[in-house]
Amino acid sequence: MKKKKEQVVILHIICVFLVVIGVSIMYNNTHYGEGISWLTRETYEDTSVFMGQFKSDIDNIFNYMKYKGVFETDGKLDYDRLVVRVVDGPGTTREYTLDEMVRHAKSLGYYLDERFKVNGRPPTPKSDEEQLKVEYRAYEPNFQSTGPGDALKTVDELAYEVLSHLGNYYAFHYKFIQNPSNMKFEVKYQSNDSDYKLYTNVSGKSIDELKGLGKYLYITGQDLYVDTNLIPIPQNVSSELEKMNPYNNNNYHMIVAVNTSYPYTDSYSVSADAYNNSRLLFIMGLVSLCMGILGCAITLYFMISMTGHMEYNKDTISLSRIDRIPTEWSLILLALATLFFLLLGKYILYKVIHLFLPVEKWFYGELAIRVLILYAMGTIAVLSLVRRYKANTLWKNSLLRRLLKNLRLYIKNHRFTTRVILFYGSFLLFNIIMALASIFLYMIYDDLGSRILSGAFAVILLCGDLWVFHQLYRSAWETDLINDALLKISGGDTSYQIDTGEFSGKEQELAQNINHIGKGLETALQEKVRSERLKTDLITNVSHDIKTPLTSIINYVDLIKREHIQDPKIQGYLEVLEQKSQRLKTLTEDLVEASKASSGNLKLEMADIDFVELIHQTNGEFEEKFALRHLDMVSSLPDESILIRADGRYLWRVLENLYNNAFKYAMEKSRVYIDIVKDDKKVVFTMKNISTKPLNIHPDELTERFVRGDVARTTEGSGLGLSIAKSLTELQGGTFTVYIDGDLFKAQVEFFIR
Amino acid sequence: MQCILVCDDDKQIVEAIDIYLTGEGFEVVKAYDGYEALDLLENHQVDLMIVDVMMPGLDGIRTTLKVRETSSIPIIILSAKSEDTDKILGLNIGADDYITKPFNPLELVARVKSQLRRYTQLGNLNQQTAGQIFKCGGLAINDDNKEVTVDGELIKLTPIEYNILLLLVKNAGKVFSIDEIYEQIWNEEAIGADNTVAVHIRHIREKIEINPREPRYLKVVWGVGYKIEKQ
Repeated sequence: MKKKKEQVVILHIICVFLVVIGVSIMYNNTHYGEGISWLTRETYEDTSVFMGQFKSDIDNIFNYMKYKGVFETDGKLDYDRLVVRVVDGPGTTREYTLDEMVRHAKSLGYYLDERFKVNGRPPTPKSDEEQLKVEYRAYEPNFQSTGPGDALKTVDELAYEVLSHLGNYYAFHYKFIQNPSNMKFEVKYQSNDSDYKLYTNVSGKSIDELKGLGKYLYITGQDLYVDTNLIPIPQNVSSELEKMNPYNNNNYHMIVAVNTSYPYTDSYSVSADAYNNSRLLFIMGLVSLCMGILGCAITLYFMISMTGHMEYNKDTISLSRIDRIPTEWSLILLALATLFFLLLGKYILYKVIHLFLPVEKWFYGELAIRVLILYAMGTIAVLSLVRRYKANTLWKNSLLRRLLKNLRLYIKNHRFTTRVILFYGSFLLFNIIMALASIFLYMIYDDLGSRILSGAFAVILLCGDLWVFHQLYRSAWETDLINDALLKISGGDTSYQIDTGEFSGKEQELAQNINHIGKGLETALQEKVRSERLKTDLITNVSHDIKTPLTSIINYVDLIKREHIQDPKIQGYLEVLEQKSQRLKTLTEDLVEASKASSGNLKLEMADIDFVELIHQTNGEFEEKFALRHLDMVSSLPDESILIRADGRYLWRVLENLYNNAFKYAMEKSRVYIDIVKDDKKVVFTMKNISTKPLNIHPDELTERFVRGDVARTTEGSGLGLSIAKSLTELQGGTFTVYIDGDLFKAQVEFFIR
Repeated sequence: MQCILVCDDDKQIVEAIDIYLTGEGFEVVKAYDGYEALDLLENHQVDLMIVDVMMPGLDGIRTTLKVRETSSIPIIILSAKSEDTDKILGLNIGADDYITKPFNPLELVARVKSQLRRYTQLGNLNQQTAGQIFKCGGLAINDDNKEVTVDGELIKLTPIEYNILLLLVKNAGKVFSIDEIYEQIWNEEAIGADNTVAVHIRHIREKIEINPREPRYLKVVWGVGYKIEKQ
């Protein structure tokens, strides 16, 4: 892994150097500044350089045509030609031939160098030297004096002038006539067949042949347009041509052509070679740049994915020392190191650069070094951050986090009210500052920047207020949800849970706590229900187990009775046995029923029931039983039927228990009062009787299990009747109350009217 | 002599039942679990079977199911389980009656006799055709000679009781309120509080039902009225 890492780093460095080389090549190319589009001009002939050369050569051709008339006789240079005529101070006219002027110039130390330029500077007229009035100069036949002294020259000056013009003539002659050139030209003015003037450096070639060489310009006197394949078309050539016309007719033509295969070495071929070379170099530079960038990107990707890992396929991240210090510190350290390296570069590497590079490239070299240093340090910093990110210490180990943590602690430990005040205060402050800033900027300045800034402040203000509104709305929404949940839980739906996923801050805490409460309640409730059921199950099972032996007892007591034993003592015992076994039977049955009723472990079949009818039926059932104890049933029932919602069987059980109660405990030969009273919402059944035994007991206790009016428990009954009645009534949604007033026992059953 | 198979894991209870039934002139064979009962059924001519639910080995419910695969003799379940669901289960899987422990020996004997009557004498419905006869299960009312029989046994009713019963049997399944019954029978408007009808109904129940607290025919719909179950 380590070797691999080193390889990647080396590859990356190579790629960076590729980029540097590419940039350097492109930056230092002669075509730098033209943009990448110059590459689309594929050949040298399309460039403005070529056009400039071409145009200047056309100008040279015209110059040559002039010089030819000045310096040549019958096509040969003629040193005896008169070139200058002057008038001296006293008025004597003096004439100089070319030979005289050249020799004078030579005597002054001037000569033509290899490029046919006069060496040295033009002579400065000495104060005592004779000023001559120039009358005629062959090379400037149409000279007109425009200012005083213009026409006054010294002989030295004139000689210099002549020599330099001769140099121009030689230069052209050397370049285009004497040596073979890639540029061919032919200019011909024709008066008639024998009388014409021809200037050319090519012989025996037709116009079409010349055109076929490559780039050309063909102008004739007859045509108004210029025949050329140059873009753009050179300007002013036609007018210049017309100016030179000696015959005052339109029988002339000019053709200038450049052989673009450049068979000869001249300025064109050199330029073309240079152009092609620089183009090739530029393309290479571009390729190098692109490859370098691509390579950099790929190797950087590998570096980022590999950094921190010591072994393949392992997620353990090993952090170097610099990765262990807090994030911000390491960044600051790296920044300091960068600064140090920059200074080092300035004092050492710059000097090295200066040794190797020409002075005009120094700036570029220094720039490159600065960029490289920054890039290297930046990469190191990024890789360090990546390692931190991988090891999850980027945020965990940052000073900002510690700061925020402390800040949060500071805010969190305040009460909610304090937080609201703080929050509202900062909200107000924010609004005032933003509004003031916006208005101030708008009122004071009216340039575009201030307007934009003012608008920005307004937008920030708006966004801030919207955010606050959103938070308030969210808080209200969360409060609503919590409220709903509380309502639900308090309504009995303890399993209700708030979805705290979208909650935040204090509300989330609150919602979670409510969820906990709900859960706790639910668990407690379930536990209670479970234990109730267990109890019921236990009682049911126990009662089953009691019933089987009880069956035998009852049966065998009965069998003994059938033996008709006459002994009254044994008969008495049997009586007791029978009575008690019957009581045991009732007791077990009642026990099951009581536990079921009190635990709600009953299936109710609620229906609309006529309460009055039910009382009639019950009265009918008990009339004869009551008569046994001479109890007089005094009932006052309404004629109408009163509908209630209840389960008829269980309501009958309630009434049966009450009536049985009266039958057992009411004083013999007394009256039992049975009333039904109806008001707007409720129907109340009341049963009153006088107890045989004193009822020195609290009424609430009577409805508890196994409590009976007679503390001695001598009478039959399980002590469960009233408890069952109460539980059953409440299960059906009614209320069951017992009142005791002295010996008066009063029971009330209330139900809502349908 | 009719043979009754008694099956209970509690030997004393079997013994007691044996004494009662033998006293009534039945022959009794005894079994103490379901398998024994099935064996005895194969080897004896059994006319009725009394079976406990909670027994080791094969329990009463499964025994009943097994018996019903081959035989249609009356089966009375005798169990300490007194929940409604237990009774419904027992009756649904093929038992003909369900008696809970502790039981009244006389009631047991009455129910055994009733089942046997049903099984042996009244199996064919088309025996009695004379006169206008209204039937409901084992209850039959001959309106011509004003005779009422339950499982073939003649029952004595007062005229008002007879009329009430006739009204209910004629309209078996329909629930009559006290007022409706009063108006139909006494032919006058029922005015105000009176539990006369309820008392009469109670008397009828005591006469035609084996156990008036768990009536087979004349049912009380508490808070609504009375009806004869359609059978």
